[in-house]
Amino acid sequence: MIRKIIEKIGFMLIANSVLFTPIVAHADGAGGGVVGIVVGGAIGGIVVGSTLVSMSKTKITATKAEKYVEGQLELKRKQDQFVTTKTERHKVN
Amino acid sequence: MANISYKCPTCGAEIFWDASAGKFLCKYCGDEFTMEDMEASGQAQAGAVDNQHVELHEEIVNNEYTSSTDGTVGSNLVKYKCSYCGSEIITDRATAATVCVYCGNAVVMGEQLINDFAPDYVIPFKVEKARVMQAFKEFSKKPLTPKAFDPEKVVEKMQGVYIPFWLYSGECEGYMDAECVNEKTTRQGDYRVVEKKIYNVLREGKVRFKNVPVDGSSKTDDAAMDSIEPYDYKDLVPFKPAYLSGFLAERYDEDAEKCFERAKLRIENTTLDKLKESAPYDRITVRTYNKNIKKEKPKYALMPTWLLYTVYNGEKYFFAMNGQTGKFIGNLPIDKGKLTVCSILGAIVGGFLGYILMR
Repeated sequence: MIRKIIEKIGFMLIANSVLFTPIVAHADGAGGGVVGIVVGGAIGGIVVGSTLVSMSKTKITATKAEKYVEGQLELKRKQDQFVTTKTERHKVN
Repeated sequence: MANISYKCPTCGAEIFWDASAGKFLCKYCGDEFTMEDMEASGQAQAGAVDNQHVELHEEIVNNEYTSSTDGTVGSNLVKYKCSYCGSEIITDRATAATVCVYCGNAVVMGEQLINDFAPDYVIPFKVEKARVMQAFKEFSKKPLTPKAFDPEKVVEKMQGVYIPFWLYSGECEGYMDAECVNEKTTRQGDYRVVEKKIYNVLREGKVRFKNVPVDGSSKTDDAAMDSIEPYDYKDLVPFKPAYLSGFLAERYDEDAEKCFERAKLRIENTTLDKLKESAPYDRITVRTYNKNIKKEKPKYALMPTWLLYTVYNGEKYFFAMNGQTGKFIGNLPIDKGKLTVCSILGAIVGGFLGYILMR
C-alpha cells in the first residue's frame, strides 16, 4: 500500500516537475531504491519544514461556532431513502 | 467634568484594577477593594457613565500630531486632557481608556462609553503582566525562532487592552439534501469487492447559538481575535467603567451589522456540521443546504486581551493573549537558516526510509 502511494507521488512529481526528471532517468537503470530516496527525501523535507513552520504560526481564522451551541440539534424532519447498491471489484496484486 | 479616573478610598492615590487579585489595588497604601467597596465609597459609578457630564475630545488640526502618546495603534488621532495632571493625551479616536504617559494615571474617556457605545458587559482582566511576560517567553521557544529575537526585550511593550466584541445569539434553521454512501469492503479470492449502498438523505432542524463573539475593532487582526477564543462567559459581568482603570480600551468602530457576516458564516457552517452528524453514513455529499438565521439583539462586550505589536528585521509582528484564560497566539519570526537545515535533515531521513521501502 505505502509502496503504491510512494510510486504514485513519484510519478506525479516526475510528470509535473523538471527537477526530478534527470534523477528519475537515472532511476530507470538503478531500480526503485533511487525513486524511494527522491520521493522520501522530498516528502521528508516538506513534512519537517511545514511542521516546524506551523509550530511558529498559531493564527487561524475561525470558521465554526461549535463552542457556542446551546443544547442539541432540534430535528424537524428526517428522511433516509435507499436508492441503489453499486458494487466495484478491484483485482488485488 | 474631566475624564474619569479612580482614587483609593483610603489614601486618595490613583487606583487600578489588579488582574491577579480580581480587585482594585492601591500601589501606595497597599489596600485592596472589591467593586462593591469602590461603589460604596462613591469612587466607582454603580452603572453606566453619566451622559451629561463627559469631557469631549478635541480635534487635531494641521497635523499637529502624527502619532499617539499612549502607544495606541491608529491614524485617526484626537486629543484629550488628563484629568489628573492636565497633560495632553494624543490617542486614537476609538480609544475608550488609556494611561497618561506623563503622570501614569488611568484615564477613562467617558464619551466613548455612552449612548450607542455603552457596553453591556465586560470580562475583567484575570491575567497580570508578570504572567504574560512568562507566557511569552515560553511561547517564543519554538524550534525556528531566531536567536536574535529577544522575548524579554519585546514583551515589555505588551499592553493590556479591552477589545470591543459583538456577541450574537439566536437560532439557525437548516435544511440539507445529501447523497450519502455506506461502504463495505470484502475480499473474494484475488478481488477486493467494494459494496456501496447509496441513500437520499434529508435533514431539517435548528441549532441554538449563544454569544458567538466577533471583534468590532478594525485595528485588530480578525484572525488573531478569533484565535484567542474562547472566553469563559462565567466571568461576564455587567459593564462598569471602573474595570477599565489601568488598561487601554477601545470602543467599536465596526457596527453589529457589519460584524455579523463573520458570525453568520460560523453559525451556518456549524449548523451544517450538526445536520451531517445526524446522518450516520461513511460519506456525505451535500447537494442543497438552505439556512436561515434568526438573531436576537446583539450584545456589546469588552474582552480583556494583551496585545503586542513589534518589528523584527523590518517586518511587523503581532501577538495577542487572552487576558482571561492566558491563551497566546501570534506568528513568530522564522530563522530561514534553521528551517533549511531542519528540512535537509528531514529530507535525509525521508530519503533513507524511502530507499528502505522501495529497494
